[in-house]
Amino acid sequence: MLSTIILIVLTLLLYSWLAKSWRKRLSLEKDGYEKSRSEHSKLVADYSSLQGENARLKLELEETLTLYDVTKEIAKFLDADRVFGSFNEKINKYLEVEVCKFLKGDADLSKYENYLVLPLTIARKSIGYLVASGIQKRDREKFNILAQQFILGMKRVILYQRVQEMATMDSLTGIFTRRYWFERCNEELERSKKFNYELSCLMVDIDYFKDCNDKFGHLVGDAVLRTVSNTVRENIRQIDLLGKYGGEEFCVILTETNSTGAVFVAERIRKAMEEKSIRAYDEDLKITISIGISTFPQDAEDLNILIDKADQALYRAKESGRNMVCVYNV
Amino acid sequence: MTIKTKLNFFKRAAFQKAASIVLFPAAYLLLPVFLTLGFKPHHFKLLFFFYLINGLMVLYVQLKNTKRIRDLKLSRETLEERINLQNYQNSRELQNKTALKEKIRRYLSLKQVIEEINVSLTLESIAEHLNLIAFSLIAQGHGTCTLYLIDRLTQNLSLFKAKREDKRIIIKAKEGDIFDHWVLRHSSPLLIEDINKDFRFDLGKLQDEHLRPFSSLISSPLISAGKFLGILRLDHPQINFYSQDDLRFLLTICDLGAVALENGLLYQDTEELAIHDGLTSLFTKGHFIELLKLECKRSIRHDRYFSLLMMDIDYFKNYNDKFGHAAGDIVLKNLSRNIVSCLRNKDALVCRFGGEEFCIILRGADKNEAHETAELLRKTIEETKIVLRRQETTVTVSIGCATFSKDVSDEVELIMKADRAMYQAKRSGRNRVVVD
Repeated sequence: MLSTIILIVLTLLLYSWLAKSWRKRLSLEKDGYEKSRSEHSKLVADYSSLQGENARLKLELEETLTLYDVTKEIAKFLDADRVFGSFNEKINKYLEVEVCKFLKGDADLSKYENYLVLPLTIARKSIGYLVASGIQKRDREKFNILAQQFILGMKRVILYQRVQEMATMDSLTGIFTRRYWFERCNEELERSKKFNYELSCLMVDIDYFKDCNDKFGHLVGDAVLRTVSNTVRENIRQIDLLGKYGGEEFCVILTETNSTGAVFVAERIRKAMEEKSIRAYDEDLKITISIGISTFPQDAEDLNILIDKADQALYRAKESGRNMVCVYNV
Repeated sequence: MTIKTKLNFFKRAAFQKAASIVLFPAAYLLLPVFLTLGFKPHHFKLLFFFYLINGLMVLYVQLKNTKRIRDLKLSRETLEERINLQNYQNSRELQNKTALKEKIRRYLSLKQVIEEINVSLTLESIAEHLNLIAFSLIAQGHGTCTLYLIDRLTQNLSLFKAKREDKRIIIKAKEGDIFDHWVLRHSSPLLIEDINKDFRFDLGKLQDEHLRPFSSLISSPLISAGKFLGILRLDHPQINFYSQDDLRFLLTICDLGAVALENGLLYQDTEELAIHDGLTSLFTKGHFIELLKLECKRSIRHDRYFSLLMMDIDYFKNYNDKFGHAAGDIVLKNLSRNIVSCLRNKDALVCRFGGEEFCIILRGADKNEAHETAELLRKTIEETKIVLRRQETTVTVSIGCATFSKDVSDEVELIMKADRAMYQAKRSGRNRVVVD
């Protein structure tokens, strides 16, 4: 009996010794494993925080990038109010601002003491001020980027208007600038009214000009514009008024000319253009034009309406297949 | 601790180890045998069971634990693998982070550049700034950076500004090479990682044009509101020097730069127009007054004569009514050309003073000489025929002369005198010269 008990005790002792020695080794292994695991989980946590940070940075980058897109948007306009409108829209989209105004000329700045003021100067002469208030500190940088672009765009508008006011000729095509042309046309219309002369208006538009621009680039587009303006000029009298109307349209006022005479001139221009070809890199381009005609006094008494009616006739010419001449009142 | 105690410690440790390895198993094997020394069958069975159970137990514990340890080791190894992978991923993400930060910094530094561009309006300084930004922010001052502008007369590209790392390099293609022409033709940006692998371009052509080595390039057109103004381009002798991000940054620079350059061009125009009249190309009134002031000062300093002619076209309004306003412009153009050619051999400055008024400074001319010149002008103009609508017409002018001398105080008085003389000429029947 005693020996049985001793044997059982021995068995238990053996088991505890075995278990103890194994536990030591196991815990050693486990420690290593745990260490690796904590290292791994730390790395994973680092990774996810890095990823989060990068996502934020990416967003910030995209936002900064879009901030610079404003110039493109603004450069579409040549009108001060629209430039400011577009800028204001962007400002409100990207940041919070209480007041943002553009003051023209030598505005009194005493009212805007606590405002952020950015002067717009051309050749050291102050043209205006951009004033803003209620901008958070974190938005300052963004505001500055936008404001600088606004100033860039605004300068363009002002300088463009200045050149238009001062110049009589367009530098590309060598024909009257719009403003000067309008003045001259109005004088001519007054004269026609006074002496009871007829006067015709031709609206000339280049067919598929946009496609040509897209396909061959702007330089070829410019060459086309010059060729068309030259062709028109070669086929009208010295005393007729040729002006550029919009991007690709030309408008001609034929003084002391009735509808029949105008159709004759228009057909001559159209045919002359049909016969010409423009060299574009390694291809010869064939360009055709469509012409709309309206005549004073039967179509309109006012220059703007006269031009508008010529434009309607032009639209009809385009609708009915291009490369043709259409008269408004037929 | 001395060496002896250290040795003692080792001895003790060795003894303990020996005890646990040798003594314990020995005791374990001998003790049961000793206890069951009765050689009874009952004891045999007990001993057998004891060894069986103990043996099985040892086997079981051994197997179970080695398996656990092996599992642990395995999972630790996979964990190590994952740690390595994670480390790699983390370092990549870290690289991304620094790259992103760098990009943001680049875009933010662009802001300062617009500020700088906004300060000046001359084409020269705007182009210089643009070139500098592209060169320093994209290429970090390596390779070459060139800016081409479209020449307004010939509509060709012409090299305007260049920056280069190697100062000895000479840029031969003053009108751009095949790559610039590609950008021009397509109006779109270009990124070439290796020019030798790009099938779009014929390198044979390039060799004639180029002595400057480059293998990669980025190039972007400068287009403002549909108008092609020029090209900004970077190239480098190394392949793959520029990335897609660099091109995108260049595009942003070009968007801003195009508007800035257009401003520069417009400003140049306003400067030009402030000096020369758009219709007749003669001096404008504002600029002429400046010139007149200067002439007065010079005249006093050097004790020299000069005369002022004021000229007005007779019955210009009636003329406009008869032939139309465009005809009026043609007359003005013809007349100004006539005046200039008439005074070619004389030291004269001609200005369009008002609608149909002209003003002329005759340097070094005294009263008599001024009168003679004015008379010559009047006659030439009277005799020159202008053809309009197959009709020949002529215009006549009335001229007033005044000479700057000691009794004239300044340019205002001189203009007044000439003007008065001109009115005198009008009153006494037009088409004549009156000297003050």
